[in-house]
Amino acid sequence: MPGRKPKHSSSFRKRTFTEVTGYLLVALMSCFATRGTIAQEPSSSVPEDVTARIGVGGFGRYTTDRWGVAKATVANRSDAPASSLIVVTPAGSGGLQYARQIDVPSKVAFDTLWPIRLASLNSPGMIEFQYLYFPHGEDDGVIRHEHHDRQIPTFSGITKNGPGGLTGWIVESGDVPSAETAIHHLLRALRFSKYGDQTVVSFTAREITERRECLDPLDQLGISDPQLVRYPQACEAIRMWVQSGGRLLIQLDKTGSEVAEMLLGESLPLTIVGATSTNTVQLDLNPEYQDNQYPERVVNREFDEPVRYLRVVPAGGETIWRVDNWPVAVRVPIGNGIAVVTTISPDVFIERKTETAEGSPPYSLIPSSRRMVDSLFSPRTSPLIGEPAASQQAAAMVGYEIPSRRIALLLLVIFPVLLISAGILLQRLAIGERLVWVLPMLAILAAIPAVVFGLRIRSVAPTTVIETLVIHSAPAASEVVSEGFATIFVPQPTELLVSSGTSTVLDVRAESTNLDYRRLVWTGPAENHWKNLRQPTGLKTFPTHGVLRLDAPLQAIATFDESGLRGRLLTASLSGPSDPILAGDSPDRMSLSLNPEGEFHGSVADVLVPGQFLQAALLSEEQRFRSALLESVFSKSDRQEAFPAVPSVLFWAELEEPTLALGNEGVRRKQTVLVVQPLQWQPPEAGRTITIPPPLLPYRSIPTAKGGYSSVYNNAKREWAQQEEAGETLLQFQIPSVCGPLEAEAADVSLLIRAASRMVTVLSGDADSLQKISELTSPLGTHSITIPVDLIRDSCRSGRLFLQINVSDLDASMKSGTMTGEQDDNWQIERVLLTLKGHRQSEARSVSTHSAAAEVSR
Amino acid sequence: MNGCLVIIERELLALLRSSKTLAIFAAIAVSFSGIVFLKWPSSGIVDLDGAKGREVFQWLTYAMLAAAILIVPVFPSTSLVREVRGRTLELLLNSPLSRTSIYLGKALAMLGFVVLLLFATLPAMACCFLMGGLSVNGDVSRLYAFLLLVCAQLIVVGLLVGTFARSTEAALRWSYGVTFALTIVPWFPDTLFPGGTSPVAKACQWLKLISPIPSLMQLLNKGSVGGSGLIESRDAVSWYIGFAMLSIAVGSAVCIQRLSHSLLDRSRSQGYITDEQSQWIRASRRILYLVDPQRRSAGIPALINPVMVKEFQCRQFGRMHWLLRLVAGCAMLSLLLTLVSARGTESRGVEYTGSLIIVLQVALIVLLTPGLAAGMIAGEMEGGSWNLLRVTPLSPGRILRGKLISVMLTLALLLCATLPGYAVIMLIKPTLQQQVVQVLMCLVLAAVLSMLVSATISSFCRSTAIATTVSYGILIAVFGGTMLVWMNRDAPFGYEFVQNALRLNPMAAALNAMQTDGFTSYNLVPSTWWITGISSGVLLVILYGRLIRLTRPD
Repeated sequence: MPGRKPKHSSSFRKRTFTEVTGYLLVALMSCFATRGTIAQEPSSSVPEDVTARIGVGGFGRYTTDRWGVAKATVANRSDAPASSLIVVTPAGSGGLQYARQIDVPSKVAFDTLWPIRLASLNSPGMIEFQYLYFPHGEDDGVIRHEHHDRQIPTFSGITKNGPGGLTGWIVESGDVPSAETAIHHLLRALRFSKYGDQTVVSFTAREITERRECLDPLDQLGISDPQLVRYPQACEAIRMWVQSGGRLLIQLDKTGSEVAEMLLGESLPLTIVGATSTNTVQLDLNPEYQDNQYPERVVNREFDEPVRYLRVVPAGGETIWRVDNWPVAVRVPIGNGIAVVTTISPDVFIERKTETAEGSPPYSLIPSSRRMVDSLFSPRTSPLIGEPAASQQAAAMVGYEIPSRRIALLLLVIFPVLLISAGILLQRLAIGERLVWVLPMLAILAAIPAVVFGLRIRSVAPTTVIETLVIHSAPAASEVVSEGFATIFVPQPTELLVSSGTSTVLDVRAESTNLDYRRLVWTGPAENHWKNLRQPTGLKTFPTHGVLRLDAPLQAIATFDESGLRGRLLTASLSGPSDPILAGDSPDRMSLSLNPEGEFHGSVADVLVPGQFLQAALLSEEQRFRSALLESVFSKSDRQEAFPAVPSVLFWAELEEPTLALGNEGVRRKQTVLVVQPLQWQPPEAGRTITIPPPLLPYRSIPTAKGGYSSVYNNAKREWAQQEEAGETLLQFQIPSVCGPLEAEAADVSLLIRAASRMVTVLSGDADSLQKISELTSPLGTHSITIPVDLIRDSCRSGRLFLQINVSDLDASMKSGTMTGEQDDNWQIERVLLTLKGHRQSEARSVSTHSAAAEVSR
Repeated sequence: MNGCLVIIERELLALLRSSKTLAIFAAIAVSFSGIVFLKWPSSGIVDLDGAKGREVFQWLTYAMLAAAILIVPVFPSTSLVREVRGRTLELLLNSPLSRTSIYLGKALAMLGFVVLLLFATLPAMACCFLMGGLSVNGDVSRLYAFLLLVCAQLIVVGLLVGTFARSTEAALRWSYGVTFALTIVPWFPDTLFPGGTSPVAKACQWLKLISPIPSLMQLLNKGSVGGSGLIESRDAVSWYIGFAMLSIAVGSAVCIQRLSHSLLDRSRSQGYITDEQSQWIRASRRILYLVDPQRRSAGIPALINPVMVKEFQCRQFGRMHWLLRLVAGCAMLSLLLTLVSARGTESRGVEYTGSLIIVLQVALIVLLTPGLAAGMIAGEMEGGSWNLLRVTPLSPGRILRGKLISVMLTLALLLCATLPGYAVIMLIKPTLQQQVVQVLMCLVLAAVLSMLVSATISSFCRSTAIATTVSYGILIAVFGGTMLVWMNRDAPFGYEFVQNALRLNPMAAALNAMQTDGFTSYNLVPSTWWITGISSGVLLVILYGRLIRLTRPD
């Protein structure tokens, strides 16, 4: 046809396009078809002779931002031993994986559990875990799918959102957990009163492994299983879990003394005198508790069926409730955790509601249960040494610091200013094209100072590991939980070859800037190592936790002598104990002198001023590091209760072998271990004069005779506050029970006060007949006051000493006429140091171990 | 070599003489320095682990790569087309310059501009290095080398596409298409066969290394994003470098080979018209085709805007069969999002999934709208068809309506694609109904704003490439820049400042309505609706004003 161009090019393109599309479709379909057949091939499927079934471990619950455990049942049906690697990736972990590498003997099948950590995310109740199984023990890059499933294999776990954990209850193995059990109702009521939910997870001791991570999702644990002693691995896990901050409720009347002994050890030795039962129960609250916080002092309960209770003599602890003068609820701190032991049926602590609102438990707590609720359900105690403090001190030690913002601004401003100036100049000179070399030159010139500076700060130290561990021990414990931080400085990006053979875990947290897969591989019960853990240049602090198994129990046994405190420190396999201090229920601390044999001694002269933690005249760099860490320990403001809960020796030690090994070359190491060891008391010799130094004479503010209660001293935090109005503060000093009954010989008070233009009257004597012992006019600074012994003799015999400080209103006549401008009209007591001398009257009670002044820790 | 330098002088040095170029360099230097300074820790011992340094490094890397992928292909692909259409390529080919010199000159000029842009970021990156967490060899140098290679590859791709395309629009479309095919597509098949042992699965595992994305993930320590749990032992960066070098060499060879007079004298097919075929073929095509693209269209009905019809007819993707394909694609996308909604709910919650869909949707809007709307007027001006429109009796208002409706319908299809995802969300958690309605309102406003921004920019530009680039820049500033402020909340930006910045961003309002983590404390709805609505109104007025001006006789 004329004018018609051949159209072969167009049709050719079309056909080519169609053909290519067709080929692609066929190829894609064949891919799927190929994949379908390959799934059956042995190379990609799990070999039938070695198999693994992976799922939730432990009691099957998780809490976000905490550890839990995964479980695998591995079976090897072949005639040869085989190795397996199982990798679990929790959802939202940011690339963190937790793996178990295990050698399986031939013809054997067994369960293995290993810790996994959940990320801090908001889960709607379930969390998904992806898992990979490598039957040859090494990551071969092949994903073994489940049969008829093309997805990456997963399992799901029931999850609670943190930071609060779950409440658990160990029931007797073989029993069907009954929701109508008294302890179950008590736990529900306690939880409901604190959090508004009543979820209690019940499980058996068989489901607990020896690893404490198994119990990490829990915050509280109730125990009523008398068979628990048959599961030593569960007992060990519970002990470690309590030491690391768990809250334990033991129903002693159900479990028996053996379980309590196994779990509490020397923290609360209990002597069971007998058992009785009654239909009428009168619960008497601890008389030391303040009336304004606990208005109901006595609770009477009547039951149709007799209620059984044990007559128990606890050697320590704080009695919350008594029945017929026998303690029925005793609280004792263990490491970072707390245990509450009840010796009576939990029915007495709860009352059936007449009307039950939807979503609330059928029982409510009896009045004045606050102490019990707070003991078990207050938030977990944060680590003694915070991450910022550990990181900053380590950074100071390494000498690594990045420049300030001002320097950064200077470096950043140079280039834009130069570029704009040069650019405008070139434009005006009509030689803008020269920007082609001016711009790179200016950029390089501006970048050089930053690069040089950057290289310099990176070269301050070689690869350095600074471990800061805290062991918050229980009395006479030989297995202790160590928690702390490992600060690692690397001058160049490096893969950290971290491993441990002591069950210590380097707790790598998810971070937004590193989402690479990093794998914690457990190769044994206590052996683990990290894989692909790359650290960029700089200093990074990782939390660590583990369990130290010592060759002997850690103990600090003390008594009083004429000059003060004397005792012996048994540090087992911890070497080089140094710089010990004594901290008790009092706000003041005392330095102790320690000889190589482990004997320590402390006198009144050793009492430290606030902010001081060592008495040495010249401090080494290490001592400055330790002082800074202790400062952070004692100045933490987020604690519910002051630290320590019981008088303890704090000392620094070294471990014989590092808990974590870093396989990188040329690594500089430093380890700092802070041990908090509660004192075990031995009674001083009767009739011999002893001196009780101020840190062991704790005090608390109590209502005055007029019924007034001063708030200038915070009993819980052991802090003095300032006040503008006049005030009367009655302090009750508690004499250590191990010294009682004490015949006082002398008492001196050192009062550091700032109360300008005011009259301060100090009174002492019996609580109901206080007499003036001193009057201070416009006091500023430290004042020493001697208390006449006759005034305090009676109260000292009963283990108390009273001191009242009355501060008047501002007296205009005392004001200086020459002073002008604004004045601070507040007054404040800074310190009250009481030193008491006397002698123990007789061998009234012989107890081998006592926890001092436990009665005043409220 | 001299010939090459001549081209470089013509292409690059001429560009550097412009004050606009200086402004671009200065803006980049200032903004990069500003970002680094904003994230600088207030105390030298606050950020010892270098997390902030790495964070800023990652942001800058994302920004640079996004800019490279979105902007770099535009210029080389349209440059050749403009040379062909302006007949200047003819002059070049007739000059003593060799084809290789012409090609290398063009490619190196563009690469030179990219290098200068990278140099403008160097001092800020050096300060980022000073902040900690980075190394010169392992991070900064590798990043620059990687970016340079990506840009070189995209320039070659752009030039190659330019030798095939006949119009700037087609060049843009295909250069983005090939860029997408090189960056996203190779990465995708491996997600279907993770950890497989079959040859196909193995091939997919290697194929993904063609894409720069796995290299980027490895470079920025984001290995687990979209991963299957397997630790990647291969050095993705090295493999990508190898492939990119190969593709650059092959692409350059093909491009040089195609740079000939045949580019100037390409025959156009008159097409295949069904109406001219035999009765049997017409009958069979009527049965086989739902919409026969080769069938002659009916006349434009009186009530239909002819400009809208023209837009749909002239735009390749505006034809009915392409729209149907788009609908089918959107349906598949919606199914995918529904699957994501249902699967993600179990572990992450409905709100998280909803937020993911919102971000995906806005990303799609920002990605596609400039492509659709930025050439609306600039394309007509560039192609010379604007003068034809001016001689028609159509009023500026009618032209505007026609053009806007053609874009809006396409965007509406895109938005509709995600509705099933929201339906699933409402099914899982019916209490979110009100929130979902608010989210949809925000998304509609986001689409309208994106369209009007691109269209208004288009009315000010004479080149589609520039209009597209500027539109991308403004939309990224609105949707991404305000999020940058949000990321710096509490340090250094205070609550009020962050809230006011987020009020400019409809996506932030949608996330706020969905109660996404980090957005719950702000009060963005309905203030964002008002701001977006008023901004859109103002843009519409400006656009209309521009159209009146452009339709006036010269």
